[in-house]
Amino acid sequence: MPDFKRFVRENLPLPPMKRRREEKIIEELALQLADLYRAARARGLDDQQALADALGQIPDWETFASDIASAQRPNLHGAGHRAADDVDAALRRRGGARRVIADLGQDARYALRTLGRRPVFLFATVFTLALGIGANTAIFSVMHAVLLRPLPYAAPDRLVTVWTPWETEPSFNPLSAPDYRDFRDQAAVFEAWGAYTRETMNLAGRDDVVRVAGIACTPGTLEALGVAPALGRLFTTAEAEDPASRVVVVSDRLWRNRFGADPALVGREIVIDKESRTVVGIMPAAFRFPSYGTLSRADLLLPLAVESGTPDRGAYYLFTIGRLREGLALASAEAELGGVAARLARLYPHSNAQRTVRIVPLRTLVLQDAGEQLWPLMGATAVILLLACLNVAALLLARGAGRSTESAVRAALGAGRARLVRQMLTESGVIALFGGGAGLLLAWWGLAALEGTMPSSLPRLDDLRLDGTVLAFTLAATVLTGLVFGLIPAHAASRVDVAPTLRAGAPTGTPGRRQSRTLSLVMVTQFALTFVLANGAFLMLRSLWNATAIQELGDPSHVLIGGYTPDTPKRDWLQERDGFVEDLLERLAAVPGVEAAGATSRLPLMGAGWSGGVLVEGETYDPDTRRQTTYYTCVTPGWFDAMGVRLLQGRFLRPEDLSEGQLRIVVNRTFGDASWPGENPIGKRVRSNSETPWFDAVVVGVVEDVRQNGLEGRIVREIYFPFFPSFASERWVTLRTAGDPLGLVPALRRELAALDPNLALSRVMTGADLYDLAARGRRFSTLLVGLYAVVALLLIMAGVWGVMAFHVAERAHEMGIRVALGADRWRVFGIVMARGLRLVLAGVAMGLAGAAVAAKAVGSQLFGVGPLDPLSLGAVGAFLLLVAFAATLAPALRAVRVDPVTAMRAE
Amino acid sequence: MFSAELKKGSLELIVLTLLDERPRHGYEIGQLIETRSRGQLQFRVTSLYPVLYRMESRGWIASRWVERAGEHRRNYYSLTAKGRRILAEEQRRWRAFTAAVDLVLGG
Repeated sequence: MPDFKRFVRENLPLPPMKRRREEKIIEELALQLADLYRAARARGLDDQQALADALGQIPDWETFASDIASAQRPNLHGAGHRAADDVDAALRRRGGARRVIADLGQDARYALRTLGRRPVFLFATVFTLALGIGANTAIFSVMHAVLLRPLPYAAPDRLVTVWTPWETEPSFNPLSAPDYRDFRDQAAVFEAWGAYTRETMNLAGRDDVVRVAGIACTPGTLEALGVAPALGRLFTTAEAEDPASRVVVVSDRLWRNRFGADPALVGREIVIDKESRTVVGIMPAAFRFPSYGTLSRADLLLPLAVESGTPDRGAYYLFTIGRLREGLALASAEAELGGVAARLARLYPHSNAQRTVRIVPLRTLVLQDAGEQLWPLMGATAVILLLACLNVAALLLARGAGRSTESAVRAALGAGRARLVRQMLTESGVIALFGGGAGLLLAWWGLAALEGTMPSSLPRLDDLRLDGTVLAFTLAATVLTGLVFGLIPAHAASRVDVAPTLRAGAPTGTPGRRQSRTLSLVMVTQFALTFVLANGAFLMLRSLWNATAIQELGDPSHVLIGGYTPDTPKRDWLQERDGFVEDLLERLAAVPGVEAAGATSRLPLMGAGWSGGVLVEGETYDPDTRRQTTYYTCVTPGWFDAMGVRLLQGRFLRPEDLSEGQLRIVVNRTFGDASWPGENPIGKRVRSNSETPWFDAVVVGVVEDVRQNGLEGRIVREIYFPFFPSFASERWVTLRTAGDPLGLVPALRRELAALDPNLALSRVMTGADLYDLAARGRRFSTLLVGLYAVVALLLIMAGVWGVMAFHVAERAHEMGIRVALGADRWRVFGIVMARGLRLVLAGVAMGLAGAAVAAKAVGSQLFGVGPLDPLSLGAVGAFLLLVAFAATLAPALRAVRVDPVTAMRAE
Repeated sequence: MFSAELKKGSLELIVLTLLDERPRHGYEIGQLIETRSRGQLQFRVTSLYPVLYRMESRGWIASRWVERAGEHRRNYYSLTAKGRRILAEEQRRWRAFTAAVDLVLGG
């Protein structure tokens, strides 16, 4: 006797009603069907015929359910009710929108009901989807915050920056003051245009001093950005050019944190770098100043004088922001400025020969390679979602196989194929909605968890949130997901062949050949996607290893670094000893625990700074010849030991190297090798590449290369000058100790304050922090891709195990016969294993093709390893084989243990 | 055979009449209609039960589970007082209706 109660419960989409009422209806109808079935058997029909006879009483379960539903409404209006019912029924029969909506509601209730009865299945599918949708929502919200939103300025598309690089070396070379004035006066390409410099300043409070980020700019800069103050006003051009005006605009943050949000601050005097200035305005909270790779907080806006700026056309220190005239193409603007540049090159060959003009959109400057970083991540995240979809599709397929008898019965009894497909799609829609909701929660939680590990190299991350756009994205992803994983099983189910499924005899669990094929295809695709992901993760891991394995500095975890900015950065390149630095280091060297103390104008790994061209002995100055860029770094004698830079030849610097009339310098290995290949650099002379050299020095030592531009940047030639108050305004004190370097922070603070209480110490970190900071971006993406690969592997393991177990159950009968006919049990084992391995091999082959396709996008994210690395491809392929082997093992062993008698009796 | 409309219009009356004799369960009602009409009237499960449920929710009939030894428990329907009144009214209307139709047909 079939279980009619269960059959009714699963097939009759009743509307919500009291549980007792519902139970009554189900039980009563089940009894009715059972009576009909018994009567049919008594008439001599066989099992299948009797079942069809009984079920034939209910040709359409949906209509039946809705008839029962309308019967539940007590209709008190006597005869009138019947007419109303008839209209209702007629409408339902006639179809139309109302029918569709009624069906949708029915389908949804039916789906909820069936899913509710399979909590494990529901949890597995919803959790899988939540992983996929959550990851995509999180990464999309990062993409949205960083890449997709327009910059927060007026007409951001027309904002550009202007640079004057050399023709041979397209770089971000800023402008000299005279060049800026000439471009401004001789070309009319901008609606508004201004110049600025970045300064770090010491802001005095009542009892302490803080170091704050400032921008010195012409009013044109702020006009181009189209920003306005929240309180007070901005400064005027007259104020900018008048050194006596001494005005300043402060940020909202500074106003709140340092001045208690006092509106009376406007008009008051504050002390910046020991100089009193009048606050004229306060910027809005949302104001950010654009810069290379970020939108930064600028706490102070000071006027910048360009008319009285240095007349030296070789002093490139002005950055610019301009808003192009409406309708003017970037190329034509560049051409017009190029005309001015060519004129300047003729007039001033020593400074301007071979120099050109380059216009870079502000957006490009701010976003840098954020797109290159994020798009591959977004791609990997999308792959995870696709994997999740396929996994859920496989689960539905395997379960759908169990329901194919039901589908066949319903199809035989007149439920249209379209209706069946719609029912299945509604079910996947319901699962997808749950998955989307859970995914959103997961994303919200994940973003909070990830916040700490996000790389600082991504601009605009401080404005990360799940807003309307992100929610819309999640909804779209959810709907798309439901369609993808719903259509695969629905398509397979709609092709259920009625006759053989009913005839086969097994009431449940016999899938069509077609479903089996679809399932295999899904598995192979999953293997291929996992292969691509795992390969990517492996390559990222190797890149991270390559980038962090080298530590050119001796034991950086015992190094303390702290920065400060002297009040008045000197711009005269005075080659004199810096008494302040010498005094400070002398005091610090005396602090117990300090093994070595030094100072530098540039930190390793932290990027470019002061640089120029250098002539080595035998070369002569020629304005038409461009020399390779060399980084200039000023260091005190003790810095090499403190930082742990290795000496290769000669000696380190000594105090007298600056003062004895002959400037002596140390060069890095790259400089030595490039300038004097095969020769000893010690004793060689170098000078600046200018008409009148501002330095002329003798090399006394060669030190090991220290990476300057991050962990992965190309090593640049570098000269270490003895410490003098140079063009670079930053000072970095470096201390080495045998103990915990952070234990020296109080001493460092104390000694700095003892020499000048108006100097603030900032950016205190250890040498290890320096490496850490540089590795952060790579570590973040490696972590994410690695996490994805692990999730993918888990999904595929569960998938293979489930599908193979299903496959074994499906063929238990056949295997039973094989064993009964005398087949070796291990041959049965071999058949199952071979099927599993065939799937993974096909998947790996497809994955190899996928890896080749992904190579281009992935390549730019790798370091020290190619995108199609044989070792990685081989290792990942072998690993996947192992995973598939492990996951197939249990089902295969079960196949071996199949008892032929039981298996055949199941028929 | 008879048209669906004709059958549908009479089903409530038929069921009420059968229940007037004694309480019966759903399957029994279906079987009785078929045997008493000598197989000329057959109602599917999908027609019978909605009618039963509708009359039940209007309070014409009431149901309760009854267990008998050696059998499944079954849901028995019986007429309520209101049901009895409706039955009388419906019977009267049916007879009047059929008599009127007979007159027209020249019976």
